[in-house]
Amino acid sequence: MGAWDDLDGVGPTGIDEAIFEDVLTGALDPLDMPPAVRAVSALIDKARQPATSEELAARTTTVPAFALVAQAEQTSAGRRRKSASVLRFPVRVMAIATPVALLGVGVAAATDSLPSSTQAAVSHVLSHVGISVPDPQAHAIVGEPSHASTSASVPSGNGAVAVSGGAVPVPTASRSSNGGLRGSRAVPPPLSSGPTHPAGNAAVACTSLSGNAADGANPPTLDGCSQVADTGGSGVLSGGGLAQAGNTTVTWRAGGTISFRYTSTVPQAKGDQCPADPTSPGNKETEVVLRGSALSPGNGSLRAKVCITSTLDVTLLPGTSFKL
Amino acid sequence: MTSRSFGYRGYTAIEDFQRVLEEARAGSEWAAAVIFDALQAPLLRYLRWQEPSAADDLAGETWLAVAERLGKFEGGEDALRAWLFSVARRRIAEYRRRGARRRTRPVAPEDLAGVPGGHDPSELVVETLSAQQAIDHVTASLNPDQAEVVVLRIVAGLSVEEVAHVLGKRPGTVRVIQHRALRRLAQLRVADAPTRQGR
Repeated sequence: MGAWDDLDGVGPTGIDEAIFEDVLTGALDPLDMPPAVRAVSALIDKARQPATSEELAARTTTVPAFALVAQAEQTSAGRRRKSASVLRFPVRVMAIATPVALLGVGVAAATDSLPSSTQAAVSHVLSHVGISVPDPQAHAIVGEPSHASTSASVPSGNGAVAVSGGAVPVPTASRSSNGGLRGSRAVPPPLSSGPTHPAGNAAVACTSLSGNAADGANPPTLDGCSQVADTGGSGVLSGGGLAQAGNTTVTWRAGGTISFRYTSTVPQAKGDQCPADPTSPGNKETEVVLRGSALSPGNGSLRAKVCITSTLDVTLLPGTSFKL
Repeated sequence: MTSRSFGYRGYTAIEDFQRVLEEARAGSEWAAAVIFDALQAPLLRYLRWQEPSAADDLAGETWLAVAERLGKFEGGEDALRAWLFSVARRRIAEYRRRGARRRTRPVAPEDLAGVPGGHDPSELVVETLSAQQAIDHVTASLNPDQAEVVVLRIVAGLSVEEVAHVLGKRPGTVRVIQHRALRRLAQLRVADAPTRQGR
């Protein structure tokens, strides 16, 4: 019998502040509490039980992202910027992309190079934590091999600053100093071989987009494109797909190409207009607004609203078109 | 990377916190993991109590927000814990302002059978409850202010002063709220409330 058990029946009014404090802080085992608060003490004890594996399941995605953001912020000390889109970007997308990035660490460590699909995913994640990373697939267009440096450079007003060795899976990253997401300055834009915009500078609108932003075997593909004589009605986007800020090149079925530098933002004012995400029950696909300007040839712009699933499948926001 | 028993039973504290903090600021994954492991469960329990359907996303947002400002943080583990919950609370407020989800969510009737709160508290079997269910039981009879104070004290492990800071209230006000809450909770009866004889 405990010290309090002979006081069974004493009402709550007999409980003083110190005991209440013990109840709240769990300073005592419920068995050592007065009977009047033993029940609630047991419940509170239960509420305070150690973390379960389910509660720590996000560790594999959150911890690397946390470390990456902390390091980037540390490196850009004095020029911190508010990146609201980072904080609002659904973690479920990051949850898909980050393991891919982690996989890339091992690959990079072993072979000193990151696979382009991994790089695309890493780039996608980092573009939403305020860092734009060039995509090796963009180099592949002009015949350059994928490369990997295990350091990241972050322009901080005084020029690029080396960030790290080895631990961070970021090849040659650059960070916007004005707070916006944008294309990388660290790598020259891709040059297409014989850049041609269909019908000169006339705009092209495509009514369909399909494919995956991180799957090189199933790249984002435009269909239902106008200016059929020049575009062939469709085109394939290379350079890492649409889920990142950076450069992309459209290769038309008819043979021409056009390269763009673009940025991606998550709309805030109207909220997410995308449909339900079939790969993530209970969630919507993530809407991303793409804006860009042509690099080669130098006229033209890019505007599109894209919906992205948790597995990085991309489609156009229903009722919109991909305008080039 | 070790941890030791914390003053609040059931949680662990971070050993050599300042070193861990410095490493985390520099982008060390092991240090980030130490902080995450120590605080994720209470954070998630608080968020699931507040916004069950969005808790996981809100937790991720909270961690990234903390990471982004970690370089400016100064203080010990208690201060970090209080800051984390301040950030989480702001995320919840922002989430609700966005109107992305309603405060309540529709639940199918068949799902209610498994909700402990639907039972007479005297029939509760504490041992079968999850931490989240226990929190729901503790707060079921409290008004919103009382419930949040109690949850921040028992789940987040914050002191009266820290809760007051998080909620933007005076410590004296928090003490009054918590006192009323506890007097109400003292009336709670649970069938298998532990006894010396029964254990």
